[in-house]
Amino acid sequence: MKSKHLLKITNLHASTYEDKKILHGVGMAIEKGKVYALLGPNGSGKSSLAHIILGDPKYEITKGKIVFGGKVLNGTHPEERVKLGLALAFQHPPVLKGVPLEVLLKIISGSEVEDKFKIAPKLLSRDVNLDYSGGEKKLTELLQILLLKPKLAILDELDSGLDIRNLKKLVDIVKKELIGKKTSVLIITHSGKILELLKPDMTSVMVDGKIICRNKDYKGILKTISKYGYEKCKKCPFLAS
Amino acid sequence: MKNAKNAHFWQVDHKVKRIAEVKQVEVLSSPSAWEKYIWSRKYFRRKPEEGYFVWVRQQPNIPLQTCVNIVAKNIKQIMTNLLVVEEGLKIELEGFCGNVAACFNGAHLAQGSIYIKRNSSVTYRHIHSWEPDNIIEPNYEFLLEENAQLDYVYKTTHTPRILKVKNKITCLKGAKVSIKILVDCKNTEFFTEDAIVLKGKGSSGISRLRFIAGENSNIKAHSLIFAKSASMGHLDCQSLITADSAKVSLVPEVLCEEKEAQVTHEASIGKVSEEQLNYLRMRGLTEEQALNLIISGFLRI
Repeated sequence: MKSKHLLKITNLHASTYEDKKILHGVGMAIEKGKVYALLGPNGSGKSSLAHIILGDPKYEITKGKIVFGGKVLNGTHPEERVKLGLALAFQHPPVLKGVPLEVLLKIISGSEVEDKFKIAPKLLSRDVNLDYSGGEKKLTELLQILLLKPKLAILDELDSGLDIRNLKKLVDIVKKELIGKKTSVLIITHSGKILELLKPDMTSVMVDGKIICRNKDYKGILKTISKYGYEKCKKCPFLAS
Repeated sequence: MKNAKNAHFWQVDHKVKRIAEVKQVEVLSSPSAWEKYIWSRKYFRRKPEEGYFVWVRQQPNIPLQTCVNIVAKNIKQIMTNLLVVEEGLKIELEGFCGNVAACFNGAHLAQGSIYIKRNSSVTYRHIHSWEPDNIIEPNYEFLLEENAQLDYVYKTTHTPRILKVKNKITCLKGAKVSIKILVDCKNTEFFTEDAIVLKGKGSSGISRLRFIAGENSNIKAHSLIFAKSASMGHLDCQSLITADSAKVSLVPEVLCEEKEAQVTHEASIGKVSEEQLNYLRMRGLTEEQALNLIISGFLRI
């Protein structure tokens, strides 16, 4: 029987190549066309999990597996995973000096640059991420993700450092171009304000490299976190198995 | 050929294939110029056997082009080139030297002199592309008279077995120079020496070098800025190592004989950033595509 899950992560343990243990038995399942959120404090392993899903060579999976679209991803290269339909918008994308954005977009899209989303017309001739504002980085990350036409888009801290106008602009694009087109979305955040705007179908909380809470009621989770902090999540009634 | 639509010189192996002139620009083979213009002899650095002579007398409205190719085996070109730009002109020159077919045991030894007279401005793009089994030695001297300007880019897209590049630029009062030397080495012994001599008051020079040290390449670079008067100079020398078998030595040098002068330098040798590489791979580029994009960005200054 075909799985309803687009992404399924089972008992995932991972370290950096310097042997620092990052993930300690993470389990996660994402259905096709659904919006998921992953909350957690700084340093809890959220961004590392995103990079591990994409196959960042900086990390090593020591146990467990990642299955995407029925294919086991362990051991595959990042570019293969992108071809399968995974895409990650970076929280801190690097500067590519000497590489104009339009050149990168052309390579990603495989054709002439057409910023049909009107996200970054003024940035096209500038080097990727060089002297971009926080908002410009987020916008251009999202543009790249859209051009990849993913099945699952992972948006890492898309809301951090954005003013409300830019956040709404980004959320509208995510709603129209991703959620509206049945693309699965995993939102990684530590603040939660983006959840109010995107209303995820499922929200998980990660602390110290483990998913400790999972529930459909993102409002309930946000309320608990804002009142008691992430430590309280460990004791809450929604505690993940 | 007078009154052509462009001005160019084209040589293949030892044969001049075509010369085109416009009325503002005279183009000759160097031996012909040596015979025709006695005055040219003080500008040529030696009696020429072959090479090009370009004399820009008035403002042309088109770019100038030179093209020197090696297509046969065992060819040794000993080029002696001369460009003279008269006062108050603004010109663009594109020079291409390279193989157009697989060639073996070739040599291209060029000695060039470029004289930019008062208040003139020259933009010179000098592109080389060579098959591996060749020895290439371009050696150029530039003189910038009062308030002259030079924007010079030397770029090698495919490197030969041995590449020796020398450039010496002398700036008189108020002259300004910017040179960029961009070389992507693979299986190459690459030696380069460049010197900017800031002789005149108010002159300035910036030298920017970018070298890729790929497989089996050995790069030795010495770059000098010498301030002899109240002037400003900066040296920026960077190399990227992309292979375990590569070696790089960068020696930037600043010399100063005048207390009002300011000369600075920076130099670095580094590897390709894993973060950049992995970022691009997570955008769907293969490792090779990602590396090539990073290298092209490094050379795009």
